[in-house]
Amino acid sequence: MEYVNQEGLRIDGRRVNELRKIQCKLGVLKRADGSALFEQGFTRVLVAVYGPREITQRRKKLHDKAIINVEYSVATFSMTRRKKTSKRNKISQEIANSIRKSFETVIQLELFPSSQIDIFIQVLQADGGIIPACINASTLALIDAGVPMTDYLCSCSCSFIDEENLLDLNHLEEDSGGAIVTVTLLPEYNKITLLRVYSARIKMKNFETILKLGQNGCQRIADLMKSAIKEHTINQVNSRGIL
Amino acid sequence: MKTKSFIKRTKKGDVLRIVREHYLRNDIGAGTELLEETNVYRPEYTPLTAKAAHYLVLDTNIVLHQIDALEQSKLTNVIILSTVLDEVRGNSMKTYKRIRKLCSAQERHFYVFSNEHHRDTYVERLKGESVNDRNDRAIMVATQWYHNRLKNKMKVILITNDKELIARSKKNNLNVQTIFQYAKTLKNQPEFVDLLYHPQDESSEDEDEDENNKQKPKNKKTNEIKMKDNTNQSKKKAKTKPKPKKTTIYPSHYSEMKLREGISNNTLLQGVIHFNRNNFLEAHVTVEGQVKDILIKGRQRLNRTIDGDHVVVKLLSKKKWTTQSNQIIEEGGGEIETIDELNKIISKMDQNDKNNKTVVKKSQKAKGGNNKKQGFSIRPTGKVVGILKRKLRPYGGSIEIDEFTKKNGGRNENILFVPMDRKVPKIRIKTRQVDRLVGKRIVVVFDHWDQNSYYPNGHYVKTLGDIGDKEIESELILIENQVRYSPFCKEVLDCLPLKQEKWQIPPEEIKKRKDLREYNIFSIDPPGCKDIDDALHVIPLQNGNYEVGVHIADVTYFVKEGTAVDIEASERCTTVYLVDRRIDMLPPLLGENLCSLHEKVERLAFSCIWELTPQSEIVNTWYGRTVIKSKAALSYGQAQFRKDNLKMNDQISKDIRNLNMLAKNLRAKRVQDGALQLASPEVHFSLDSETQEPLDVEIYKIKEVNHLVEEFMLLANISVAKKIQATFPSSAMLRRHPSPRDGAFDNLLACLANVNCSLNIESSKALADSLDKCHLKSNPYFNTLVRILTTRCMTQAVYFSSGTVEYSDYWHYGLASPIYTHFTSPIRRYADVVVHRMLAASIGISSISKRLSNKYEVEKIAKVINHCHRMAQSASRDSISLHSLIFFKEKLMDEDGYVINVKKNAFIVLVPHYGVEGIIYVSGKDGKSKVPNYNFHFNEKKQMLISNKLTIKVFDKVKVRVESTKTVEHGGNIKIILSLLKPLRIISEYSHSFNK
Repeated sequence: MEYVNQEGLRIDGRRVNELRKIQCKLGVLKRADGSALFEQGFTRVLVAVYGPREITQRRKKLHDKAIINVEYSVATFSMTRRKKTSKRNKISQEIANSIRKSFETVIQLELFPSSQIDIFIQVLQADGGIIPACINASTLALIDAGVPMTDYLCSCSCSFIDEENLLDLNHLEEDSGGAIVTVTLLPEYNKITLLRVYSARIKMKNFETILKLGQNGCQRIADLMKSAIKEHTINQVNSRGIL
Repeated sequence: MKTKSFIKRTKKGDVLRIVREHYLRNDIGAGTELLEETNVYRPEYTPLTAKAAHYLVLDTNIVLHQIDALEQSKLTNVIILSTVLDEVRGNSMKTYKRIRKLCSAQERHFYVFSNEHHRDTYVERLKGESVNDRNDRAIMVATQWYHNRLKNKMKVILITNDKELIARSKKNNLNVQTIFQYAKTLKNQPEFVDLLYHPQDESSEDEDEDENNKQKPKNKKTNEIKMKDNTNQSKKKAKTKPKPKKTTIYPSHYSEMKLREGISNNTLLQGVIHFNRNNFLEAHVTVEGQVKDILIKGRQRLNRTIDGDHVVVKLLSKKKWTTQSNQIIEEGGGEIETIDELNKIISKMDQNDKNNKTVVKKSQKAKGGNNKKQGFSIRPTGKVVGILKRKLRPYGGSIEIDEFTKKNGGRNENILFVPMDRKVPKIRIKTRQVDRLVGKRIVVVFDHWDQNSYYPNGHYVKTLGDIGDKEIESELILIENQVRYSPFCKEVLDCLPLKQEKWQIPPEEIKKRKDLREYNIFSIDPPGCKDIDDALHVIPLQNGNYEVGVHIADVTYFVKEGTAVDIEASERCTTVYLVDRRIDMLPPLLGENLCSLHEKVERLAFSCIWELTPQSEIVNTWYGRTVIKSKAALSYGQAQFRKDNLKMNDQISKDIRNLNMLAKNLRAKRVQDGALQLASPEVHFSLDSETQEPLDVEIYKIKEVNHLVEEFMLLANISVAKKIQATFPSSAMLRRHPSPRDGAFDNLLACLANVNCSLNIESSKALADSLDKCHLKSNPYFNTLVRILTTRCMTQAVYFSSGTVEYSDYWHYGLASPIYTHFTSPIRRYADVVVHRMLAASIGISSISKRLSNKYEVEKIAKVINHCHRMAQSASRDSISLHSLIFFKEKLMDEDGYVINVKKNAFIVLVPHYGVEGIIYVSGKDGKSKVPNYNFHFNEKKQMLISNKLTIKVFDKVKVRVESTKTVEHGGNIKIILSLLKPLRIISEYSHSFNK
């Protein structure tokens, strides 16, 4: 397999530092307090947010702040091979956990004592970069729900394959056996909140450049998300006849 | 920057539907200096120049088939489309790599145009359109794109052999040509036509295409299918389609289905075919899991196979089983005299075929009688019904010249190429430059072998140089034996220590090792030896025992597994010794400097230290990594002098005497066990590559100290073999020497019976003893001669992985050792490098890699090493015979020789003084006796040629004249010819002498 050819093109025709096509929509579900659909190439994630609302499980209640509940599930039809995955399996739980932890740093939980915020994540189509897509979609849904946050959370994957740093891996590139580095960034502060290195080791000297590449990618995603939110807000304002 | 539209692509495997994104871009440039492009991703350099006459676009089949031509010729300014690249990669990774290499060579001006990702040139597959049709269309669209953009500035020519594509492109007003048409326009490169590969159905296409279409209406369809179905094309090459017009010479091969069925129900057998060196019409197939090889005789039954092919064989009924023939048949110049037009060949062929058949029949009949009496030599006989995989490689050789080719020089014509390898048939090539090829060594590649073609077809690749030039001939030897002789590449050299010659052992490395720098260590090697692998030391202990150490260069410290230098060494496998040069396995910096145990420098070593009793019994053994400082690097002569001169009482001389005493004990013990090579200094069992060479037999005087070094190396090898076998019972790299095959000695014993001698071949011990008794008063050379012939009856020693063979088969016949390996020469043998790694792991100082702990992987490595080893030996042999040829140039010498083999129509004479062998024919090809008044006939049982006045048998002393003459074969090759002078005159002459 030649992941980057000598003309500098990847298998799908992108250059090494290019993102896939990103589309996002807010407020796609009417019953939820906030929702968002996030598409990155063929990866498609739907997120619904409920809350802040009264806590359902009393023993989890915290007196000084709200808790976050993340439920992550993958649709059986989302991959090339159809298979059932339960919400309770280890991988799903680990992903849910890491998403929860990263949002705990940005949501102003102390404003809502004794309450909870639910984030339901549904992966509709998986083609690489699922975790970053989930985080990005959740950010959008939380903003749609009006949950106060100190900053966005933007995430993006990158890797080092065939002596090249690649940004935003698709499924084929994730299967290459190279390390998958997921960078999650606070775009305003330019600080990294979550960093996952998965499936292989990586050399220290390459790591720094990969990190820089990932940060750049996150910033670009942040810009796209901001413009999507702006557009959505203007639409909503228009539809309500305020302006 | 990025075009937002994307297209789904589906790829159906089993039941999967894989969907991939496919981005189209508008920033891909045309890569030419002619266009000023903005918004385009620009590499630093634009390949396509403004000065070119035209730009070429190639289609997939052109790249796949004409890669040789593309590499060799001087075509420049070529556009390679990414569609084509993808298709090429799908078909042949090898070709893909070669075309990629071409594209990155700046002086060739090749440009890869990513048409698949360009917004204007992407083509979507239409409903009902095959993938190949789509790709053809994509090629056409891309050409069109270039055509439109460069309208008045540059001509763009599409080169393809696909008729449909030609027609369609013509409709769109594109410039399109077949490769043959294009080749004709290249007036300044006549050799380009020769370089082209001629696909089977298109052999006459370059003459006139339209006519061709009319001629073969039936073939057109198959032709088209073939074009589309280019994935199978390479496989199809070997098969033939029946053509009613032409007579078929060879029976057709079975279909693939039938072959598979036959193999699965055991009516057909598969194996690798090996041709007989002396008789090109005879071969045997070794079938895995079967003890006896299958004999195959005659052109028809061999059915277009080439040595090394993987073939499917059908056994004949038992009535037709025969023995190996006793004739020497060379594919000489006399058989077919003029080969130019196909018709001529065919008419000739019938005749020849009959001749051949009769020869075969005659010999069968003649032997039929003998077989019944002897019984033992009948072998299963079969015929080839299919070829699974050809073993193809470029062949070196020269063209055959006769009167006819000389007259017609300059025109495009068929000539015959004669490979150096006697086991490979002549190959017909097309060329326009006969004049330029005469007297040159050239390289040719096999293309295909038609059912109706007497010889296989091939094409010319390159010219090496003049015949007879020593450099060129040496290069040819290397090519023929597949020796890698290119200099070490940059990646390999980058693996070496940075400071090069000034490199010193890092102090922390010394701490890790046992420090033996103060020990009195010395090495004994041939004079002028640069790569010193081994060194020795001995210390008398207080309890009367001796501590003896063997120190081997620690190559694995520098050559880490998996690095470029390791991979390179594993491909070279061994250092190849030619008479005038040496092809190293490791870069000289390592082999001659950092690893080599020179005197008075600190070096890293891997040591094996024993405590030996004065009777040379091992008390205990220690293995480990050490650092040493050799006190003296002695030559054999110096060491011998120190040993013999009792006045010299320095430490080293004393040590040598002690070691010699211990070595003598070891030696005596091995002789008692039945080790063979001890008794015969000349006949060595692949132990020391220095002494393996036949010419060394008289030049190389073996001294006592040679044995000294040898004994301790053997001891080290055996000890290490035991150690690694104990640690890795299933994956240790060992070396074994199987006992001789049944019946291997039959001929030799028959010959010995003629002179009232015999050998006991029951065991190696018995053989060694009986060899010692073989003496003939009348012939002082007799004993040596018997030993030489005995060696030829033996099998070769091989490396293997311990898990693949039963323990009882680990036996090393020649050394009479139950277990053996190679540990002592890691600088020049890769097997030793592997053994070093295993030993390091077994004493716990490093971990073993996954690869070396898998018995199949180790067996794979062993097989490669065995192959390279054989090739290296044959290269050294070839080099020696080349040098003896050069030695005999324009010389005439009368020498004593000995008959070493008798065949039906000839006998072979060895001239020991020069190590030269030659054939003396007693009867010509027509079967008539060459010598008036002597009518020789062959007695197989006694292995004699008998006439009314004289008998010729093996071991006869004869007087021969040695000279070298130009012969008609190999286009004026020089060959050594022996003529018999005594007891009667048989002057060998070549009727087709080149000078006539």
